[in-house]
Amino acid sequence: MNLLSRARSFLRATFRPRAVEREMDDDLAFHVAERVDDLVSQGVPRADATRRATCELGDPAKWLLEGREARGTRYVDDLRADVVYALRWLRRSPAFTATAVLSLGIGIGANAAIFNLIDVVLLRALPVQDPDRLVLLTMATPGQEPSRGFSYPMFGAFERDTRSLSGIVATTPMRFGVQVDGVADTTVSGQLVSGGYYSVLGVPAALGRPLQPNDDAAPGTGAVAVLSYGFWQRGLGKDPSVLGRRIALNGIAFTIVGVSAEGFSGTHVGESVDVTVPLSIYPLMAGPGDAQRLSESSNELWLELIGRRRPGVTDQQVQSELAAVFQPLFDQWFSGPKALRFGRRSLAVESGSRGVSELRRRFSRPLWVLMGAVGLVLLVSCVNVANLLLARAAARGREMAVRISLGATRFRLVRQLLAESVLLACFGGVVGLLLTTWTSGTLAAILTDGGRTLVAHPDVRVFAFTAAVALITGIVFGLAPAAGVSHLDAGAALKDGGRGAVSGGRRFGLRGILVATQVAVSVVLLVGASLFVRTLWNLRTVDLGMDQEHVLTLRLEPIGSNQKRGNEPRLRLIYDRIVSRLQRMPGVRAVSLTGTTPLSDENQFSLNITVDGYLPAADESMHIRFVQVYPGYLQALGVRLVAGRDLEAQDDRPEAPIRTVVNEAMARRFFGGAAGAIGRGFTFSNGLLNPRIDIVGVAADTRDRTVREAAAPRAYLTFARAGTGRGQMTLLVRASGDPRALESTIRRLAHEADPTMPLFEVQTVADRVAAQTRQEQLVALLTTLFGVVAALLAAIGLYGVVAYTVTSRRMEFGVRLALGATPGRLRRLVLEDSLLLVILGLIAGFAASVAAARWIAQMLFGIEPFDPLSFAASAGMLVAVATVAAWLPARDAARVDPIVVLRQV
Amino acid sequence: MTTTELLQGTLDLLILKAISLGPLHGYGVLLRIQQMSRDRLQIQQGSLYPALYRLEHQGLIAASWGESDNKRRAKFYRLTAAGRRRLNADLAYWQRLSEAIGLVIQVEAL
Repeated sequence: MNLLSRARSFLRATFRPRAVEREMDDDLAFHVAERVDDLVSQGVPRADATRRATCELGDPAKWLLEGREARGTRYVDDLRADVVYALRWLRRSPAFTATAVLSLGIGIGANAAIFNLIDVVLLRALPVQDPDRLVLLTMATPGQEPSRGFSYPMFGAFERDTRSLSGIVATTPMRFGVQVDGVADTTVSGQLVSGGYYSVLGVPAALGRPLQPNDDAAPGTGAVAVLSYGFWQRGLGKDPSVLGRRIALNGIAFTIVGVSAEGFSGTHVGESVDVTVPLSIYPLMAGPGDAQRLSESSNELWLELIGRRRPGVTDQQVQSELAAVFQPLFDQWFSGPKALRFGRRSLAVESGSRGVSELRRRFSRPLWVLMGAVGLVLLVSCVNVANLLLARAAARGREMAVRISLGATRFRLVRQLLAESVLLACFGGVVGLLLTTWTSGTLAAILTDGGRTLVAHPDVRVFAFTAAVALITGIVFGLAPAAGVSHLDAGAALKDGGRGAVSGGRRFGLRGILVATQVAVSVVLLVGASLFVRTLWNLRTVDLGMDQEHVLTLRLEPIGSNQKRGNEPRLRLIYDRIVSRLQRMPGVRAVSLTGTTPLSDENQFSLNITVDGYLPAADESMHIRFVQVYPGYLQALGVRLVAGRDLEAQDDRPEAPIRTVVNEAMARRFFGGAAGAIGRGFTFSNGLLNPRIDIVGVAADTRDRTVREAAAPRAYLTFARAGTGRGQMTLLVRASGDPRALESTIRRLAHEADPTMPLFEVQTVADRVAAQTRQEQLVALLTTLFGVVAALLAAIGLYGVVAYTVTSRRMEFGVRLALGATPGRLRRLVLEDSLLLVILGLIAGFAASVAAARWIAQMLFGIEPFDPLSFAASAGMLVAVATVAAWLPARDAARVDPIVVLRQV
Repeated sequence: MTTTELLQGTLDLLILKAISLGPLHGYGVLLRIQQMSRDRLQIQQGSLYPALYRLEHQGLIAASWGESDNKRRAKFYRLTAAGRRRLNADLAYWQRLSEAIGLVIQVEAL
């Protein structure tokens, strides 16, 4: 209670000083008035009474001051005085203040921006209840990336048998063409979820209700949808009457029952989900015959599973419990030929607190590299401001000496200087936060290929980070000048008075070391930047073995294409119609279809083969990747034919012998080259297709999985006899001109062939390369920016130090000139001294760069970490900038007039 | 009439005691102390106020606006529960102290 009253009166005195002072004034005035009345009533004349009363009271100013102190505001008052003084001092030198605030703002802003990305992508927990208790289930196969797909019966078994999880949910993504009230919207990303999704994750509805277990009942029922808050806001203008309205998803009518909580957009960071519907509706969405996926005998691995641990249960306990359920199921369904394809898998459990993210896997290393880079930028800008402050501290020596002589304690002066530097840093922090807020959207868009799928608003954590960085920065760079004050000799400073006596010996001193540090750090950043830029250049220009500019790829997902075999005849008809329509289109050079989009990982299938007349070594893997294509694939993608012929229409007939085109890598490995491969053949080791597969052609190698990966042996097959069915396909259209110009016509013709077919991801191959090298682009762009900023800051720092030195050595230069030195010699003297600093910095910087380059080696492509060109270019750029920075003051040194200088002595 | 300088630290006690008999404005506190001490204590009038603010800050007294006998608006101070506890503790202390000092003085006089 006591503390409470103290706090209350302290806060009132601090934040409403006027009111408190007025009250005190009133008290004193009242006192005097009453006293005068008393005295008058005792017979004293009024004039005398007033004088006596005022006299008896004493000095009101003293009582006011003591009254304030009584409220514990002494430190606040001092602090306020410090801040007011610092503000006045900063305002008096706007150029200095602007330079310092701007360079700190850039340094702090860069840190906040990158930290924001790290926070969003790597650190932030899902906006659900107790995210720490979520677990992701994965299937681990030795030597492979874990997979996340499980079958429906597995989900059922886990749900039924688990004791360690309080709930488990299944989700699967699906894209929806959306119509609300008959108005067609764009395609959105959606998902199908089991009924417990919202209750297990603990996500409430912002409007209406979330999905419930009884929405997800018998297969084919449950046509209700929950919208994400973002989609409701963006697509429906936050219309509150949306509940109960109809929404058509891929042509099927759903009732909107709710909008999920703000901020929640699914469990995949960077791939936000707009519409969520129950899993039970899947058969309707997927086309006829596909209800089988929700049956107790399905072995399709298509559901992602997320569980919630019971309190006090560990991940290990969950894993061992579920593994006991999983293993018999897996062994039961995936035996025989299937086991060859899948291998033996085991169940694993990962933390699910931050959700699932492809983005996180791709960007975690680049983001930490960038965080390191911005740390260096901040270091350079701190050093810069410290340098500026040191120069000013020297100029303020007299002021400090006067204040010490007048009785200021050294502690008070140090506090004053720290107040100034922290104030500067705070302004810098504000500038930095503005920069972050402005850039967060752009950076997030680069990260997600221009999508709106990543919410990157800075949150409290980013603000706290920025504030902490600003505060620490302010104290760190303020300490150097403050330390100078604490052992200032007041007498000497007053006598010397900053007239600039000859200061031999130390040329640049501490400030020189600071500049060399800046140069060293800039070198590291510039070397890094050139390595990344060259990496990006190499990736963008590497020969993929295909035509990047003229080929448009479009993903086709006709209704029913998830169930390949059941819909095979219908799908074949649709695809044949599309190809024949497009082939007649003017401006089109070739058209084909493939199950595997170029530069993607989807639908890769690989099998062991036995090659005629080739005896594999004992431990040699005969696993080969296959790509299923329509005739004319090579021509449509612009892949060079090395020998033989392309797959043609005659090879696509069901009764035709099975023919294949292999790539050069495969021809080299098994047949000693392209020419030797024609007419040879191989069979599948698992006996899947018994007849021999004849090689009719050899295609040039392509980098068609990732840009970074050189071609591995592979073979192209048609769909006719491979026994896999067609499913979803990627349409390849090679145009004679700009393929983008054909897009609308292609869409129209495709919809003539099948009006309900969704059509996604319309991109040229070059677009796909750009998308795949997005992280390299981001890193190259930002490190270049940071490197240039650091180099400029270093140059400013160098200029400042050299200019200051030249000013304080004016007398020395004057004497030298009088004794016969030429201006040119003086210029060279200053330049040499300055470049010495730069060279010291370069040496240190190179040493640090070697260490840093090793760290980023695996992010590079087509270039060695110790690339001499990158090192030389960075050094060249720095020396050039530094020379300009040092030349300006060197010129001033040469212009010193000896007569003027010597007269001042 | 001779007046005595106030012993350091005793002003707080006097204010608390004065107010304990009923709410008073600042000038009233002065008059009450002078009256209670029969004008023997010399108080610098203005120094009353920082002391009042300190006590208020500590939550020992509380202020509210009221009207003086001469129809002027003035702040009236009254004792809080914490203030009464403090006053009792301080009074007991002073009692013991002055008794002890009285004894010592008497011994000297013998």
